[in-house]
Order: sequence, then C-alpha cells, then structure tokens
Amino acid sequence: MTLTTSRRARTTTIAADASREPLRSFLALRGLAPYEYQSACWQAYAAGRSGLLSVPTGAGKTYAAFGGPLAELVRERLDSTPLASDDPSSSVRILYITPLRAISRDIEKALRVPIETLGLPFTVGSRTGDTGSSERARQRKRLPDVLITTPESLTLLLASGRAAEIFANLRCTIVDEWHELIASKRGVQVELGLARLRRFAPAMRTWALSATLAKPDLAAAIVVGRTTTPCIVQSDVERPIVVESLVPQAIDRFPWSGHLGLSMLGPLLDWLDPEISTLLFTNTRSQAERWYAEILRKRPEWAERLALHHGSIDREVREEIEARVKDGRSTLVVCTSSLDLGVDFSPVERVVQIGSPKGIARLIQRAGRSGHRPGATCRVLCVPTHAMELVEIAAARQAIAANEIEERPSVLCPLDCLVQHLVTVALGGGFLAEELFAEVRTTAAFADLTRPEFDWCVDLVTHGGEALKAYPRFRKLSIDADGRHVVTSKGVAQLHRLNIGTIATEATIAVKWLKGGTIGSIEEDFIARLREGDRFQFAGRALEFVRLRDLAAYVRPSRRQTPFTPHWAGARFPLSTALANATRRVLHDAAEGRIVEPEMLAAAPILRAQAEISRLPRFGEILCETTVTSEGHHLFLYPFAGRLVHEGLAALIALRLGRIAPATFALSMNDYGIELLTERDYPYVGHLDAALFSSDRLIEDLLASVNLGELGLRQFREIARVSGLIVQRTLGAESTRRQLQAGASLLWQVLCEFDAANLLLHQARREVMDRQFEERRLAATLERMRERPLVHVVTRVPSPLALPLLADRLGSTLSTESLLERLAPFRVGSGP
Amino acid sequence: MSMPVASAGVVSLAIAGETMVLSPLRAMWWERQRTLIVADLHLGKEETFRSFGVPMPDTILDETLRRLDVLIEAHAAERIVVVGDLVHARRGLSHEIIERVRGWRDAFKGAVELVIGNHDRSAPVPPEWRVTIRDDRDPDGPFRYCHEPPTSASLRGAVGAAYVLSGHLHPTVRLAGRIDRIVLPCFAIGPRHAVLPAFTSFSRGVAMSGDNARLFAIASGEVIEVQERS
Repeated sequence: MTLTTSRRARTTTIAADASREPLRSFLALRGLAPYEYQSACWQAYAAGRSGLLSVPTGAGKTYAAFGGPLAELVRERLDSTPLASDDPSSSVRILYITPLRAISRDIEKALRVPIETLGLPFTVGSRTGDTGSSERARQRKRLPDVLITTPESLTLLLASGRAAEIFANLRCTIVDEWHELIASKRGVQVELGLARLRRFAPAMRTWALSATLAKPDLAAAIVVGRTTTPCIVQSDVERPIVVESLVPQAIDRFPWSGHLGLSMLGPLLDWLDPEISTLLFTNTRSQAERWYAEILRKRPEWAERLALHHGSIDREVREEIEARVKDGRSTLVVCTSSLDLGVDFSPVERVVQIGSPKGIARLIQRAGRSGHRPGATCRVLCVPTHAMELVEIAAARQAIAANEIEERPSVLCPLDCLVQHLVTVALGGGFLAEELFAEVRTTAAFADLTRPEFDWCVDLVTHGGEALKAYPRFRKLSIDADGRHVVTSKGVAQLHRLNIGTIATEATIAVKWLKGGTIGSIEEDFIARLREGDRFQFAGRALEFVRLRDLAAYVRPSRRQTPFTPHWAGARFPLSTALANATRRVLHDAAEGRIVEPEMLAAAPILRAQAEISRLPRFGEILCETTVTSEGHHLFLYPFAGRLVHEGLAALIALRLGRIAPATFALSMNDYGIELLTERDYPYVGHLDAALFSSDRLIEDLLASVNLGELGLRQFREIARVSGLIVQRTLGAESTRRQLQAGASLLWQVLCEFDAANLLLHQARREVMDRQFEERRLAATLERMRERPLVHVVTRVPSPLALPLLADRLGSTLSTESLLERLAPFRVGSGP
Repeated sequence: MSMPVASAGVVSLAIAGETMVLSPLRAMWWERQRTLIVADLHLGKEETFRSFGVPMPDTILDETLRRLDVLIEAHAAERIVVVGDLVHARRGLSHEIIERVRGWRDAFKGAVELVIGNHDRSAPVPPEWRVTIRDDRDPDGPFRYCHEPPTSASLRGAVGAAYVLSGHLHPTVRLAGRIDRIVLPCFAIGPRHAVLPAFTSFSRGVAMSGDNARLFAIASGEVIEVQERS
C-alpha cells in the first residue's frame, strides 16, 4: 500500500476524541489540523501496519509516527487500572531511535509537549551516551513509557540481563532519519536490534521516518524485517529547491584544485549578514575550522554572532554552541554534516554550501534546512573552492531538476556486526544457536547468511575460533546447562559494553587546556606529529601545543593565528554516481558548445584550455592522456566514477599492466580520474585495450591488488574494531591499554600470515570491493571503458584535468616487481 | 609455513674487532663465542591479547621458537643472550605459555642470559625457563648488552667504553624513492653501538636514521645493506 497525500485535512474538529487520536486533539488545541500524511500514518498504525513515512525535511514527521502508538497507549490505559510503578510490566511502550544523540533532547521535548498538554499519565525520557548517572539510576528502577535512544544505547539495553523484561510490553519502535542509517553498519545494528525486539514483543510495530529516498519500498522492507509487508506513506508536499552560486569574477586567478580554497571568501563576506540566520555547510572538519578562522579574522566584529560546530568538538562545548544557536545569539554557524540532521533551532533563513556537495541527496538535505516550513522554497548558495567545482554545481542543479537522487546500496552480511551482536545477545539473556540463526535471518542484511557462516561466528566467540581452541578461559561465551550461549565473565561483559557500536573512529586523543577543561578530540596521528610550541587551529581557536600526557594533548591559547588545522582521516566524500553522470553531461554540453549556466560561463576559459591542451571528454567516450614530466611517465584516465571506484580501478589497471611489463607505479586518483606514474619509460599506450578493462577475474584481480596495495587494511580497521579484534576502550588502567596496543595493520599482517582462513579477513576484502570500490559501480565503469571509445591524447604539459591529480597526490604505490628488485636502487654500492 | 635456512642471506662484518654475522632470521651470531644475540622476543604477547578475549592465532609462539631452533642448530650455538623484553606482560605468562617455552628451553642445552628490558620489569621471568639475569653494566669481551640504546651523552661517559648491543626500538628502515616506499625491519650498526631488530614478528617498529649508523634491511630472507638515495 502506498499512500500519497498532500495538504492539511480540511476538517478541524476541536472535539476530536482524545482517546482515539490524541494528537489530533493536541493540534486542535493549537488551532491546527493534521497534515493528510499524519492522519494516514495514524490510520495505518491503528490498522496494525508497520512501514515507512517518507517526506521532505521539516514536515512534522515525528508526530505522524508518534500519534498511532500514543493512541494505543491511551486506549490501553483506559481499559485497565493504573499500574503501580514497581509493576514489572512497567516497561518501555514506545521506543524512538535517533541516529544523533544531540537531537534526542529536542525529540524528548517535542513528544512531551502533547502528553503534558493533554494531561496524559505517561513518562518520556532519553537514554543515550549523554544520559547522566542519576537519570540512569532512576531508569534502573523504572524506564519511561516513551524512551528516546540511539542505536548504540539500544544495543547496550539489549546487552542487559533484563532486556526481555524491559521490552516485553513494547508496542512500537520508531526509527528516525532512516535514510542516514540504511546504507551503513549502524543500520545493520538497528536491523539486528529490531529483530531482537520483535522476539521480546512479537506484536511490536516498526515505523521508519526518512527524507526523500530513491527507493522507498526497499528502505521500508529493510526496517520492518522479512516477515512483514510494509506500508509506505509519502507526501507530495513540494519543496522547490533553488541552487545559486557565487561565481568568481576572474577565473585565471581561481585555483584549479584543492578543497580548502578560500578565494571566494571576500564575495561570501559581502553576501553574509549577521542579522540573517545562516548555516554554512562544509565537507570536512578541517575546512570548517579554516573557514571559521578566516571569517573571524576578516570580520572580528562578528565574533559574537559566529559559531563553529563539528563532531570532534567536546560535547559540553558543542551543547553550549547549540544553545547559543537556538536562542539566536549566534546567527552564522560554520558546520559539517554534524548539523545535517536536527538541532532544530530558530528558523534558518539561509543555507550556504562551501565546496561541491559531492552528492545530490546531500545538497537537497542541506538546502532543506532553509525555509523550514512545508511548501516553502529551499535556497542554497554554493561557494566553489576550485574551478571544477563550478562544473559540479551546474551539474547538481541539472540533476535536481531531473530528480536524479543517489540510491543507497544496503550492507549485506557484515559478519563483524554479527560477531558483536552474538556477544550482545549472550549478555542480554543468552541464545540458542538454532533460534538466533532464524531470528538473524529475518533481517534484510542477513537474509543470505548461511549456517556455516553463522556457526563460524558463534565458534569465534565461543571457542575463540581456531586461535583460541586451547584456551577455554579466554572464551567470550560459554554454553550453560540448557544449551544457551551466555557470557559468564565480568571482564568480557564490561569490555563488550565499552566497545559496542559500529562507527569506526581512528584512535583519538583528548585536547585539554593546561589549566583544565576539555576542548575536543583529534586523531592520534596528527597529535603525534606535533612538537612543543607548535601552533594549530582547533574548535575555532588558535592553540599552542605544550605536551602529551596520559592520552591527552595539553594546550594553551596562542595569540598568533595559524593556518595549520588537523586533518581528519577519511573525511572527504566521493562524488556520487548521480552527480558524476550529471558532471559528464554538462562537460559534454560544453564540448558541443552549449554553455549556458552561469557557473559554466565562469569556467569557460579553463574548459577552453582543456580543449586546447587535450580534449573535453564527451559523454560517450573515455578520455586518456599521456605525458612526460620531470617526475616521470604519466598515464591519465578519466572515467568520472568517483574517487573510491577510481581507487580500485587504479590498483586493478596497475596490477594488470604490471603483469605484462613489471614496474612500480605511483597511483593517484580523484573524483574524475586516475593517474599512473612510473620513473622509467613505460609502454602504456600499447596495452590500453579491452583485456585491460575486462570483467573476467575481476574479483580475483582486485583481491590480488588489494593484497599488494594494502587497501584492504583500511576496511579491516573498522571490521577489527566492530568484531572486537581491536579493543578501543579498556577499563581504567593505562597499562592495560599499552599491553593491548596493536594497530590494525599489525593484526592484518599477523592474521594474513598465521590465520589466512579467518572469515573476517575475507569480509575485509569483500567490503573493500562492495563498499570501498563499489564493485558493481566498478564493473559498470569497466564495461563503459570496454565499450566506449578510448580517446588518447599525448599532451605536452599536464591538462587542467590532470593538474589536480598531480597536485593532490594522496595515492599509494603498487608494485609487481619483487622486493629485491625494488630494493636494488637502495643497496649500498649500487651506485647513484 | 616454511622455515628459511639459517645460513642463507647472511652478512658478516667486523664490529668492535669481532666478526659478527647478521642473520635474516633477526638475530646476530658471534662465532668466536658461539653466542646468538637476539632482542625483543615479547613471548606471550599474543596470549596477553587472548586474555582480553581477542582471538590471536596460536602459531605465533611456535614460529618464534622454531626460528630460534633453526638458528641454534645451524650455528651449533652454545649460548643465547637476550638484550631485553624476553616476555611481554604478566597476563601473557599463562600456564600454557610457560610450559611451551619450558619445553623449548629443556631441549636447548646451552645457557640463556637476559638483560632486563622494560617489559621484563613488570613480569618476572618464570624460574622454570632457567634464564640467567645479566647486569647491563657487565662487559662481555668488547661488548656490553643493554636493552635500550645508549644516549649520545652516556656514550661520551666512561661506561661508554664498551661497544653496546641493544634492542628496544624494533628498528625499521623506511626507503622512499620518487615513487616507491618500502618499510623493512633492520639492524642499525653505529660506530659505538648497534640496535638489533625485534625477534618477534608481532610488533611494529621505529624508523631509524642512517645518519650515524649503517642500516641492514631484512627482505625476502636476505640481509641487505641499504641507504637513502641522494
């Protein structure tokens, strides 16, 4: 069933029966009527359905999902005598899961208002990582009827020995911002959690809330599980989106690459108005730091109005910033995706996107933060940081007009999540393997899980797998008299609870003032490079590094500003398929002389230079360039498939070329293309044929290149952490942490050498292909490269498309030569 | 896994007037004294991980002990000097680990001597391993054994008269050409002291500078002297 609704229902019945539709009564008291999709949701719920509500941002989704289960609670309460607070049935009735703990309080408030206004006898509370110890103690006695939580805190509740009791009376689970969760391991964690909840409360209904999705039916099917047919409610409340941009006056001074580019700062400052509330979205935390500092430097009089918000800033500091934003003291907020969702503060009037949004859905979501009313026009001002971003902005506008949104591929069979879940379930009352296998298979993520795979995971945590066969006391799970897998060791239980979650984070170090107080946290790698007296920019302040002690970096304020900001690993978004295709189309149009968009007009001189030095790639061809510089011999290929696919493609092509003629290649890649570089002359051109781009043995070759290029390592870091191979947080003693220090790279190397059959290694490799290289997208790219003509140009200098690849070399090396051959130039006595 | 042959890929050189052999099996061989010198075995490191429920492969210890056996047999060694960090942590010294190492120790008829390293301080060496503790000030011919490499200040002092053989750093050499980047474990042989590679393969290391030492990388079963390209 799909319902598509619009406008508010016309009837406003003040006397609506509060026991049947309490939220209708609540809205009526405020002189409002529900939107049609809100009524539709309430009715679907009353009819016993589970499903998905997909509407644009800022449109009263929370009440749409909350109305049905609230009505159910009211009806049940009328039918029975009030329950004493120590009654064991006083457990959670409505569970509300939000991916962002920062907004749990806003949701709590929103849900509490109608309950208090209508004088209903229900309690509302939050349980997140931020919940204080006194509140936790209260909740141990009695959990609220309506509980707001995060995926991680839900997992913690499921790992409690009382889990079955806590959730026995659960009527409904609402999953907010489902589009944020669905393509991730956090989403899988939620799927597994929901399957568990359905076992405790078989009648539980599930409703997911999401922004506009490319495939709402798939998203709905995943959230309700494989045993239920979902109901989908969509709203056609149109929110027109206007994409504008700041266009540079003179393109010849405009940078061709980079991503921090501040050249449009001046025009942006002229446009900004501290009296108009504005969100300035950046793509990375370092970019946010940099722009915040530069705006402040140029407009010190805005200090009171300007705020910086990103995920590495300490919670207390962040909450203070959010409070300032909410009550209107701060009006200009430089932020990252940390503010993509929620933090509903006084209406945002303007939204600025600094740099390319890299994806259509992201730009729509961000634009949606402006004019936060159903039906209001969303406006976003894009600020390009380099020339090709002008092209991407024009492409994004066209893609939005054509309604092309990215699909979100789901995560399939992530065994690391399953391994973690097994320990969670064992802690939360234990499991029988047979039953849990069936339960896990009701999730979409594990629909294809085989029994041997499941048994391998159970074995890993019960017997420690191959590695721990001989060590019964180190096992995480044991089997009790009833054949249930349970956790008996307190140490295992504590360690697991500390390390629950799927968000992969690099080891971080707290940044603290010498005089006390925490500012936030920064990746260890960055801190390790600092020396006493070094200055850097963090949380909007210039800091001077003093010393590193007890896992904290101590700093003092610095009077001198510095452009040096920490890099946060893996923070850059790749260009999405939808936006990449749109970009290829506008470039094709430019090649055919159709240049109309203002951004394309501004970029025209660079596009002309590309056409003169090399060629503007047509939609139906693959451009290939070779050139020689003082660095060596370069090959450039431009498939326009996004940075991640290019990473796989570069390794694959290097491996296949290297088989024909061994060499050591430097690889680099960006969203548009790849570069291969060799020191010595290399016969690239003769080998660029269909065999090189073949899909035959694609997986084997990718695996080989992954092993050679150590690209699997990055994926393994996350898997090792989620499955408990790497312990991120330990109990107290620093000495414990030191004893356990083993980087993912070391574990990877040790497992490859000593336990090659480990399924988590297989998963790491598979994930590299599925997610990192997006295997399907890679295969499609290869097909395009085989079928479309490859147009080769020998350039005398690197072209405008090639320059960013040269300038931004973050790539790796891949060698098909033996280690001894590679060492030859370094041997003592080998000559200069 | 296959075990390389101990005599292959070695480099012989004169250190403090003695002929010393650098083995790709991560040990130094002193022929005249029939002594093997090794550093940083970190026995029981994987067991420490297991004690926290982290499933580490069981074969790490076997491989370490077998590599020692190959060295002992090939050279007919009569003595092993460990320049610190024989063990990793107290938690790693489980009954199984102690027994497996004792089995190896009982089969070796020679002496095992140890200068205490930072890890050994927190975990007493099991008596059944029959290890003699050496004072790190005691000379042995022209050498002195210390866990941590001496600082340049201490080398200038009087005690610095002997050539120091040390470990602790798990030295690696980082080779960077215009394109290629290679990281390998190595021996760092300086004019007054040498740093040995970590014997355990379960560790990461510190990059060494070639400014004051000759660097001998271990690659593909060979010891190869390397230098940065100018």
